[in-house]
Amino acid sequence: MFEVKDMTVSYPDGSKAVKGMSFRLEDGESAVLIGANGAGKTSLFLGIMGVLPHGGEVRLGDLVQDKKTLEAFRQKAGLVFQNPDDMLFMPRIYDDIAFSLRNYGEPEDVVREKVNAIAEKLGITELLGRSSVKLSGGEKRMAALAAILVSEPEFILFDEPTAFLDPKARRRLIETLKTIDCTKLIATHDLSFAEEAARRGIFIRKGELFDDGKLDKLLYDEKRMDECGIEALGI
Amino acid sequence: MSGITEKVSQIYSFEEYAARDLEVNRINPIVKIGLVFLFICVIVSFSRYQFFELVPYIFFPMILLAVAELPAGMFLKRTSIVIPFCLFAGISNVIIEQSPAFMIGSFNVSFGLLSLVTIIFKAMLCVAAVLFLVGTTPFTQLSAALRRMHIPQIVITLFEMTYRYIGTLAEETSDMYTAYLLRSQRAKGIRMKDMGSFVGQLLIRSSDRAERVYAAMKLRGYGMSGGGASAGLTRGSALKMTGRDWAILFIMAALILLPRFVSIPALYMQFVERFF
Repeated sequence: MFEVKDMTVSYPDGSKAVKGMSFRLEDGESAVLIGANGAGKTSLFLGIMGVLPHGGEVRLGDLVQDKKTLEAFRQKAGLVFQNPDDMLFMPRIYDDIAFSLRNYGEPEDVVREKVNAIAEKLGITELLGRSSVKLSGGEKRMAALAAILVSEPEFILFDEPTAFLDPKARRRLIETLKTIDCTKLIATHDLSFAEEAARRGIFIRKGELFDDGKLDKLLYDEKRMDECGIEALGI
Repeated sequence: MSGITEKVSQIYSFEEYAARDLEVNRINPIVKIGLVFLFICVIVSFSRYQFFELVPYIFFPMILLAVAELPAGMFLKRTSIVIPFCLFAGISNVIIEQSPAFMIGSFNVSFGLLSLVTIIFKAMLCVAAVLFLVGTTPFTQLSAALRRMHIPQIVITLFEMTYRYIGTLAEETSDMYTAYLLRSQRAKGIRMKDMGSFVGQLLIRSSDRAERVYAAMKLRGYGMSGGGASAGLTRGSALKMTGRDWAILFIMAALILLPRFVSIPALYMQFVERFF
């Protein structure tokens, strides 16, 4: 179970990006976080992961995220950044994927085994020896995803995962996301993608919870979506 | 791909060579670092007139190039990068030291020219040794070896971050430069009047990007207090020296030191005089 209660996220200058958000995801549940540009999706994610200071409570199972538990929390939760370039900083994709395992002190033979297994699962084995500089957007996205999945987190946050992807890569990503068993919260304003990725939608507007419910109704509600600052499906 | 990104791609291409499953790539990185360090120290220890004593060292990069299967053209091109700097440093010698050192046919070679050639040769040998090291050792192993050698953590972190942010900075520069050129009619580069804001914006963007990269690193365990890497990227404990490593270290060290204490060109001349 993942839960945020009355969460507030502040920027270093003191301005509030997220104000009093509360929601809960059951184990294995997928939900999309929908909001217009600047609604606070990324800030919420950075607050959940403890990158930005936050108020309120973030709970993953029995673990409440605070300064003392931050390392343990980050081992259980992963964040896939909007721009995969931010996550691919090592000279080779292999080292990018192995990065977290090495930091968690896994022996090199276990690292090799896990990296190869996840690369095979995502179909990126041929990328392992290459530098991210030479990869396409879709390949980078898959490599960034592998870098998170390799440490087998219980909960993953995806920040605009379809950004920079062509339709084919987007389709591949959707199929891949369906094979991931853990609890997922996916931030997007791509509503057709949202419809395929999850059944539940959490809507955010100006840093506040706007709505929380079944996507099949909400996404087609032109008036409600307009209030949220996004364009409803089917218009 | 713009020129800047292409250059970064070339830097990182060494990682692809280093990742290959070759015998030379499997040598313990501590041994390679030690030997490269020794090689550079020995090369630097020759005086600026000892060109002929240095000549035997040309065989080291030639042999290692073949063993490591590195492309000779690329290797030579990278090695020759130092030539302009050496010319800048040694050109004054040619003017100041005009007394003759020896003759090649009717051409009088001055001590100044000899020292210039020696400086270039020494610099190229040193660069070749470093290129060999990075072309046969993955970056993660290099930093792990440095950690194992008890190099201060701050130095290693600086080395790792610099290597990583070169790509980040180059990508930002490349994107901004391309966008600039596309909107500036017939400009062949950045105009001086725009240089200030270009560099300023580059600094801000790079800083933002660096913050995001650092956040991504922290979220994946970088700098964890209880983690295996304990504030590092790679663990040095796995790089234990074996008997084979020690053997390679001693044999290669002896081969590097030999031409320093025994003049191979003098031996060769004696051999020629005695038998021919």
